[in-house]
Amino acid sequence: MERGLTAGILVRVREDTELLAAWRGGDRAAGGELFDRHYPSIRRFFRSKVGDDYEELVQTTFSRCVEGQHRFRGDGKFRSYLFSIAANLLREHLRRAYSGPSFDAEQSSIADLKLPGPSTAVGARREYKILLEALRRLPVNDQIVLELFYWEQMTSSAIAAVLDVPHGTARSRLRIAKERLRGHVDELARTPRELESTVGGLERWAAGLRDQLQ
Amino acid sequence: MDEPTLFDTLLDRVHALNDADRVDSDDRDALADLPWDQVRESDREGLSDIEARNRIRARLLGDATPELRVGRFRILRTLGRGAMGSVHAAFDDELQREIAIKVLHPDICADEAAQHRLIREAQAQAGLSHPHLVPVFEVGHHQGRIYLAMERVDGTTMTQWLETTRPPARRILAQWLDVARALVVVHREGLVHRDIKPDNVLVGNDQRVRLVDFGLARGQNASTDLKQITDHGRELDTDSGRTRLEEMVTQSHALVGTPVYMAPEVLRGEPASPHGDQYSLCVSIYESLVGRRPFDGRPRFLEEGAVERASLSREVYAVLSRGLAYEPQRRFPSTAALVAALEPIVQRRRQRRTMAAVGVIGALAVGGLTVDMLRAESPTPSKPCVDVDVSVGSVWNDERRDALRDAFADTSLPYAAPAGAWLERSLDESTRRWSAARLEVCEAREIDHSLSTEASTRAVTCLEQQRETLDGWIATVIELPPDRVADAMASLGTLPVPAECLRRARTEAPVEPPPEALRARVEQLARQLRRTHLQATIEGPRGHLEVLRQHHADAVALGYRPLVAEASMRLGLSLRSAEDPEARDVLERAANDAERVGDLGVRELALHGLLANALGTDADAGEARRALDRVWAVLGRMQEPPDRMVRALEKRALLSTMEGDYAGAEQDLRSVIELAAELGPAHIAKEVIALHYLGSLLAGRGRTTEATEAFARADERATAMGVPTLVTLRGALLPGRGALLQGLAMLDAGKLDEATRMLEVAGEQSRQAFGADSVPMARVHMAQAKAAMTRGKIDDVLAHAQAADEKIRRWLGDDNALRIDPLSAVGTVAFYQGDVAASVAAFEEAVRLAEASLPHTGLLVARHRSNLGEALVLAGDDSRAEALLRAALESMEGQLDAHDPQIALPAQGLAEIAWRAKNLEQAARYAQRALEIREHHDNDPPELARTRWLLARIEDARGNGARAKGLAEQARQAFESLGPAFAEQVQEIERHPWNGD
Repeated sequence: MERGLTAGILVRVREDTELLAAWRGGDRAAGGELFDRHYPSIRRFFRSKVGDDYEELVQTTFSRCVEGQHRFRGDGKFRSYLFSIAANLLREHLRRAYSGPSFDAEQSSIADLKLPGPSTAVGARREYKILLEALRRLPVNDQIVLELFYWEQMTSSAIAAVLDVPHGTARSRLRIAKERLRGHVDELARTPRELESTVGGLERWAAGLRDQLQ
Repeated sequence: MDEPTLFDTLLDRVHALNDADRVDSDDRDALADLPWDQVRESDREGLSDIEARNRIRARLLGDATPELRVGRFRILRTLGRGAMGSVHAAFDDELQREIAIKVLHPDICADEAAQHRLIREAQAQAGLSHPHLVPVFEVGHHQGRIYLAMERVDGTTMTQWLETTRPPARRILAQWLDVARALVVVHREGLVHRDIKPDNVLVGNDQRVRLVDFGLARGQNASTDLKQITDHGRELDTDSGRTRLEEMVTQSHALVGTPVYMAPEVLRGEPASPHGDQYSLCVSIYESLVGRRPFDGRPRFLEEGAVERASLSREVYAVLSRGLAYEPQRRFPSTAALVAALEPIVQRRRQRRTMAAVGVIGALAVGGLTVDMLRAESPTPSKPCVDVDVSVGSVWNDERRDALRDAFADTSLPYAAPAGAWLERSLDESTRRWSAARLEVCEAREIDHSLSTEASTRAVTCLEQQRETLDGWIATVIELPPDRVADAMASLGTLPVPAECLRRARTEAPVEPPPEALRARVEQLARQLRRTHLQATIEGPRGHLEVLRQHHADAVALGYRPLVAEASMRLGLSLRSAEDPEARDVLERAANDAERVGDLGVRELALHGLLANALGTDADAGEARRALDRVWAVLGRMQEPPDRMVRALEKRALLSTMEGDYAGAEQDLRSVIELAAELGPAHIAKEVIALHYLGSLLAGRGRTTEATEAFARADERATAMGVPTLVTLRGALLPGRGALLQGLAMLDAGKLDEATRMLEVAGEQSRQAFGADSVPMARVHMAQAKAAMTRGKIDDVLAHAQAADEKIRRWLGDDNALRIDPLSAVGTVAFYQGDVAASVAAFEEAVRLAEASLPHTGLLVARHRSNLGEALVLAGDDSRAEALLRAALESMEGQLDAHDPQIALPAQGLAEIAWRAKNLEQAARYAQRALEIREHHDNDPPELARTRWLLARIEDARGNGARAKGLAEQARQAFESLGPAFAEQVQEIERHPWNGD
């Protein structure tokens, strides 16, 4: 992949797979480049679900990636590979930390788990709060699918690789997730009371956060 | 919503999703066009996020974590994160101090104009100076981020402070009043805080509150309300739906603050204002006092509603519901006005009542005027309460005043006159308060209509009972034999608190009245019961226990359960002060009976008795903690009456000390000091005692300056109350006592010269007040003995200790526990002088007295056992010595800090025993333990020298010749400098045949 011009000099941008191989071979600069490239997406992925507790999860994602615990065949997209590690890690984390073996990413949502809502919500516009809150109310797997689709601009086939499901399954998943999202947005927009409790929920999160800091 | 709104637009898009999907799920649908990077604001990284990123990167790649700097400040660690930015501990390299630095999120001030405005505002904040605002040292920007360097406050947030210390309501209100005062300054400068809430108030370790965290980042469009945005959006609607949504996004950060604390108009998007701050402040105060937020904890966005009164007092409720008015213009016109309304509640409420009452009973024209002036706000043309009988003349009059003066004059007490004057003053105040309360009950019924007829009757009955108690109290004191008059002073705190009657009538459910047929007998028995208990309290329980048992049996026979509960409680409390083991069962029964009949007052007294029993007699911290929890629960249900709170807090301070939680004890003592001051002269003893206790606590923690302040303030408070010469109340109020305690604190701090001077002052004051031959002088002698000990002046120690013991024996008898200290000193001197028999005799006597008066597992008994054990070592009675020393060491190790100097004593004794038994390893271990502790403190030269000499011989025997000689030489020099009394030790060292030589 070639990327644009920087100050008149054509910079060859090395492929993800190339950087990963170099990093695995001990090239720390390559590791740094790969990390910097994907860090924002991975942080965003965790932060929308576990709030500010993302540090360890992000680090583990990258270290599993470089250790190659999960096999990366080199032919698929690196981003899908990275996100599949992150998604597995997230499910492990939620199962361990919040609801034990009964946790089911197909059923339980972040909102069910009473996890912190999206950060910095106080400054956010109410309309977007609805949207973010609706995402939080989806089953975790649906939330992942939609965030990958909207936030990371992934195609359904890339998402299929993340979830390790056939392409057709990923597509119907996406459709179902969107329907559910619509349901939640409808509901939230219709009932101002509900919205206020959402705002209150965010506040509880902020308070909880402060508690952790002491 | 009638008009199309942003919600509708969003809905349109969401609904469009399905159609798009029918084509292909990969198509970018309506929602995909949203500016997602702005929707998910979580992408922005605060300073703490950058720290996290740096850490992850460093750990992954094995690099060093780069140092983060903001200007000249080096970031040490993150203290907190919030919506606006993060707060970090940082080090100011220039001024070499640790500070707190708040760094705002970069996108909070996107454009330069906004940035400048924010900086200007932060600078204005930095210009503010108020004891309840955190000082801002510097404002600046660094790589697009605005930062504020502030003083670091060590403490907690108000939220945590409330949770962990469970302070009394008055204290909470006083703290918020200080916050409100700070806010007045903020508003006066034209600033708005925007985010007042308990989390944004810090309570320092010094208990001072500070308002922090100004909602600086109001965002560039904070003043644009939602409606405006909507209108704006509609205009753009002509272009395309997409533009409209994007437009909305650019108007970001509509809300700054915390929704549940926000005023409705601010939630609607109107500009932040002092009125909004006032609202948030009142939500916070309400929450702190009631335990939940008004309006069900929901932000008050849409509708108006009345605030629930909950457990708030009428006055506080009036202030808060005004501050919480839905319409800003119905709130207080300014924060200063709110402060003016809160201040009298916190500080002058009682005074006001007192003044009103003076007017009525004083029958002075001016007094009448005062009443009218004070009552002007509630016009009462018919004055229905003018005729109510508020007189206490039958109870407290000139005749009784003279009788009381005579009773005091008859005593030989050197301080009889001031003690009598103080007693009079307390009775004046108590009766004045009674009249005020009687008047208030009438007014609450007739003028405010805030009291039902039933509640009013209960309040009046309660006040009548209190008048009887006052009557009985005064009669008992007048009739006390001359040598017992001083006992009355110790019972002053039991004088009734009239305001209680009104509070209980208001807040507690009525207790079922006795059946009509029994009423006369119940009332008569109740009266007898209270009178007997009062006498038992003032005179001591012994002669009264049988009568109380009879009253109890009579109550059971009558079968009226509330009276049975009360009789059990009063009997139980008297048994408790006699330290009778039966007290516990009786009090437990009383507490349960009281709960069944719904009498919270009786229940609280019974539970308090159990608490006192657990603390005093049983000295069992676990049991005390359980009892305290129960007391606390009842106090909560009673809405924390101040006189009962003072007692409970006092006990909690004691318990915390027992448990080693000195910070907790300190906080409680400060609350006691504050609350007791409000309760009037009868309770000043509690204030002064708490101050002295606080002083001792601080001195023990090495905080000498603060300790001295507390002692000085104790003296000052006592003097300010017009009692220049104070009276014996657990010894705390004696003249010279403050100087004595200060002297002791200085001694502990190693300030020998100052301590000596202070003790001379104490001696002079005590001599003047009590004469040279008096118990207080004995205490001064003891302190001087301690000072002489520190200087190593053995002869002086002996002289002072013997003088002290002599006076105590003469005045208090051979068996008094006060002798323990002088006996110990005598034993110690004899010990150093090698008079083993005299030493053992003195220590044996000390142990006898200690075991008779103190819990056997306690530290004090351990210390005296340790002394005796050491003397017995010298006497060669190793087996008896070892048992005593082991018991002592075990108690001490379990209860003291590892370096507590007391531990050195039994350790050294055991070292000597092991040394003699040729158990070298054990001897070396014990001796080393003693030496470490003594070198750590280095304030007891003879003991340190003894320890060194012992260890020198042990080390010599173990073959460590060099160390042995070094220790021996140090010991020799020390003994030599201590004078001829230690000549023998010097010789012994000099003549010692060394192994290696």
